[in-house]
Order: sequence, then structure tokens, then C-alpha cells
Amino acid sequence: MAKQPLKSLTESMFYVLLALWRQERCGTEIAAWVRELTEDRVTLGPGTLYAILGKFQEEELIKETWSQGRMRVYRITDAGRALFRRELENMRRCVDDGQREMREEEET
Amino acid sequence: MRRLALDPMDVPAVQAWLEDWAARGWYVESYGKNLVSFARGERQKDVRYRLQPVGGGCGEPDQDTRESYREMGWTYVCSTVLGRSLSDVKTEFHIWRCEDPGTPELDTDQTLREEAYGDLLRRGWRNIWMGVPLIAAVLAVMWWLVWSHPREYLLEGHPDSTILMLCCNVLLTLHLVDRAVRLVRFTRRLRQEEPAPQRAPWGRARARVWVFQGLYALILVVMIGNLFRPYEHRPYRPVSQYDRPVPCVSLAELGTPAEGEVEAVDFHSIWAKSVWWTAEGSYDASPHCSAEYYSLRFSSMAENLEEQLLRRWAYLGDGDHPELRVAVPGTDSAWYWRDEIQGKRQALMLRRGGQVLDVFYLGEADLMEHTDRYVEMLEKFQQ
Repeated sequence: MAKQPLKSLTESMFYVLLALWRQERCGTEIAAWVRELTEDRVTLGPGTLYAILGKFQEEELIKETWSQGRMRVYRITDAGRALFRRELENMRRCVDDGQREMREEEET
Repeated sequence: MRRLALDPMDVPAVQAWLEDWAARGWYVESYGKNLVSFARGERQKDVRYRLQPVGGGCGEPDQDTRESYREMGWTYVCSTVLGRSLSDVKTEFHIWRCEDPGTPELDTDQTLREEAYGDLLRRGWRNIWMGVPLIAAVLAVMWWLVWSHPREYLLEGHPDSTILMLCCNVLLTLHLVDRAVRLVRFTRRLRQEEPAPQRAPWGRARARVWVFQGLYALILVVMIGNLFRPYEHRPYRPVSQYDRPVPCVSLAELGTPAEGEVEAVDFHSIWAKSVWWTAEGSYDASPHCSAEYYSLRFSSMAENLEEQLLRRWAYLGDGDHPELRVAVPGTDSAWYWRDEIQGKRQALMLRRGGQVLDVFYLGEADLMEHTDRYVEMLEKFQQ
């Protein structure tokens, strides 16, 4: 069965793309950065992290820029940025919808 | 140290089992299809083991992957072996170990974890869809063989071999389905945010392995035993030596008494209620009578047996069966043959429900004049 292209991102996927938004990083740097940014709320185990990196490379959302020994450094591609923006927009709408509902409830 | 392997499909059970062994100072080294090897080490209570479904169904993680995982606190231990082919080793799960309780879990994304198990589940179902029809085909062929050539299976020296083959096939089917059902349950639990595995939930998994392995071992031992068991020669014995009535019509009842007594031998088969062969008088001298009596569990099988026995009549005459059919009241079908040249050799076959009687006679009497005796005997033994 052919794999379906990614339409939405899980929380872990979202943070992996975010980690690569401004700079290239290797796997362990991504995991450490995400952990620090989210103050341990989101942790990336190696099984999850390398599955995501493999999946993203397959879909050309990220690219391996250079490798030295076992260390591989990745950067986000234009397709990756577009998917991230779309996801962020969806999340923003979700937040807006939620806040509006809550506001209206408070007003009534 | 080696231990009987738990089925890796019992993922939480295997993880907890390995953790318990580590707490006792034994660390898994290799996880074969049937046996797991442990090596002695220091006792550690905080060791975690995690099983990771193998993408593609074969091989081990490459060195780079192992190093990357190690950097994040997880060490590759081994992979569970499903089977071996000429070119590669089929593996189901990679086993990873972590000794630091502060290290994040191996898989932290539930969606991705579900996806990985989904792949494994699809492969499992594919194996079932491929395996079950194969087993069904073997059963069908066995059934057809028994049905179309019942005589061989009614007289076989080792009547339990048919049952063994059936048991083996049924057990294989059950095992395949059981594995898939457990994986389905596990993935369902994953979807429902499975709680962290607790210590020692593996008792049931171990019991299941013991039951399956025990049954396989039993079948194997009996099969090997059958190979070395000499063919059971069943000698004819005088009917007076049997403690139960023997279905036969003696030469005296046919009006041509011979010296000696009717001798008989019985066979046991799951397909028949009783099978008797009887003989009276010398085979190459007159008078002589030999008969095969079958009381089968299925009437349709009796029809096939009748056809099979009839084919054996071909050597007696020209084999043109329709001409041999006769009408005998009290039977479903009857066949009679008489040697036209000598006139002394006769054969009679009667079928009544699940009973089949095949008689060969050499002597002066006319078997057709005594069919009522045979029908009476069939009636008596039908009960």
C-alpha cells in the first residue's frame, strides 16, 4: 500500500520542523532544543525523532546538508516551510475559534 | 542461561519480562524464535527494555542508527528473530535498552508508534491470509484423500497419524490467529493511550508459550515415535478368541462346511465404527470364504469405499461393473460376480447405510441364494 503524503503534523513533527526553521541542526541538537524550548513538556525519544527525520526526508520536507561519520545535519526545505506555515495557520484558527467562543460565553 | 522465548507479539509482557530478568542480574543477549539467551551482569532495577517494530520485516539497525540512539540513551540489544531465509534473517522487533531513568522514552509520539505497529499488523494479517488458505488446502487434500481412498485409511497401521496431521494443522491455524488477535488488542490499547507496562504482567504470556510449545513438542514426539514404531502386524485369530461378536457368515451356514474355524482380524480407525476381515478355509482350495466388513461413520464415505472395492474386482472379471449390479432386498446396493469358466469363484458386495461387506467365495454354494444371511448379519451389526 502506497504511503499517504503528510497532511497534518503531530506535535513532535511540528517541533522538529520548528527546530530547523532558523538553523541547521543534527538529530541530538533537535531533541535538546525542543526539550529546552518546551521546558520538558515535549520530549523526543530516538525512535520518534529518527522516524520523523526519515519521514520528512522521504517527503522532502527536510534535506541532509552534510554528514560527518554518523552525525547528519538537516535543514528545512521550501516544502517543509510551506507545510509548517499551513499547520501554524490551522493552529492559529483553532486558537482564534476557541478564544472567540470563550469570550462570547463570558459576555453572555 | 537460556529460557523459552515469550512471543514478541506480547509486547508489554516481553518488555516487563526482560526488565525483571535485568533486575535479577540477567541481560538478554539474543532473542531467537524459541529461545532467549541471557548473560550475567549487575542487578539493576531501573533498566528499561523497549520493543520497536522492524520496518520492512528484516535486518538489524545499521551502525549509524545504533550510535545515534546510544547518544540519546538507548542501546541496541538484538532483534527478535521470526525466521531465516537463504539471504536474510526475518526479524520482527528491535530490542533497545536504557539504564537511565531520566532518559525519555524510545517512542514519544503515539501517532507514529501506532503507524509502526499498523505496518506490523498489516504484515501479520498478510501472513494469516497466506497461511490459513495454505493450511485449509492441506486439510482439504487430506480430507479428499481419505474420502476418495478410504480403504487405505481404514486399514493403516498407525491410525493416529491422520489425527496428528489434523491436530498439527489446527494448532498452526490457532497459533497464527492467536498472534494476530494479540497484536490487534495491543494496537487498540495503544490507540487508547496504553498505560505504562507494569511489572510481571507476563505470567499469561509465558503460560501461552508453554501451552503452544508443549503441544508442538507432543505432536513432534508422537510423529517421531510413529516413524520408529514397527508396522503393527495384526494376525488372524479364531473368532472364538474374541470377546465380542464378529460379523461373518461361516462356510457351514453356506452349506459347504470346512475344517477349522472362521478366523478374523479387526482394525481401528477414526473413520469407522468397526472394521473386520474374516477368512475360513485354505485360500487356494475349495471351500474358502474371505470377507471384509466395514461399518463407517459416514454413509457417503461408504459409497466411495464401495467404488474403491469394486475397482479391485476388475482383476476377477472384465471390470464391466454395471453388469454386475444385482438387486438384494434390504441393501442400498449390491454387486455379484461369478467366474463363468470355473463357476466356483464368486464375489459379492453389499452396502447398507454406512456398512460395506465384500465377500470372496470359492466353493460349490451359490452366494446369491444366501444373500438373506448376509443382510441379516448387516442388520444385526448395524445396531
